[in-house]
Amino acid sequence: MTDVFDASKDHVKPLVEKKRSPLEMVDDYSEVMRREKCSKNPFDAFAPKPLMIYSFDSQLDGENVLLLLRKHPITQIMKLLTIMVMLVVPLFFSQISFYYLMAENFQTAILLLWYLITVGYSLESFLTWFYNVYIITDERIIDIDFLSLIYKNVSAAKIDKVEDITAVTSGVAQSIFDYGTVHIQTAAEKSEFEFEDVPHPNRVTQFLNEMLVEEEKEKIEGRVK
Amino acid sequence: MPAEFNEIFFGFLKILFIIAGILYTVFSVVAIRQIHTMQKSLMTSLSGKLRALGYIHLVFAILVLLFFIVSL
Repeated sequence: MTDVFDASKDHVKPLVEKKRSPLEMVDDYSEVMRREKCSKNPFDAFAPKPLMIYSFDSQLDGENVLLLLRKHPITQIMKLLTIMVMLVVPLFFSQISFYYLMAENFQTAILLLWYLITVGYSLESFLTWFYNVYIITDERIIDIDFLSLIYKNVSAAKIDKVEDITAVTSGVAQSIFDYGTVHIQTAAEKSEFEFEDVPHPNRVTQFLNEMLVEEEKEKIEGRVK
Repeated sequence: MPAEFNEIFFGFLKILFIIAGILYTVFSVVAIRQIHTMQKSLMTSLSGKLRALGYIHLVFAILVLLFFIVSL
């Protein structure tokens, strides 16, 4: 009697394998990323596998953001205090005798102008912090700098050009809040990248090292894009 | 004499306020341009809200400028 073919006994692979996203694939080679959840908060200063970043300047086809960094929020404390002081200052206008000598509409005008300047300063401070980011993709490291509203500088280097990575944490505040500067030496046009005051500098360094190892493996296996 | 002095002084102050208002309106236009540039650099889920914030800021600046012109 001939054997009847029984498909249930056979280990048949599905014809179409479920395609994994690059954000899932990074977990295969990165210990740091395996431990981190996808970031959904657009205000995160340390945003692994960010889901709220849709694109960035000079993004290549198929390039994915794996880690987005910005300055630790605690570094903005001075600006926050300045804004709070600016908000409180009008309460002391009454102490200036000249203020009450003016007509009421001039007093209102001074208040309006003062609050307008406060709003402008707050907006400029927030935008500068929010858009001054460091991005690590599966291909490159990118430093987007907006030092003020009218200064922009974007630098990028391929991961395989990275030569040396150092994390520096100094001072009480940096130790307590776990933030510091990551120095990245590269063989690219811009020889040094500085990720200033970013949270968890050691995790960033470890992740970059894991990226370098993976890049080396890709080179050996001939998978380099 | 003091009445004349007052008129000149507050007239001068009004001009100063209007100049400050114009400068601030220019600043808020620059801020909107910059928000656009920044959004091109980094498109996030917050981009729409920030753009709206920029325009609200501009409207606020224009209203204050109008107040300076009309009311002072």
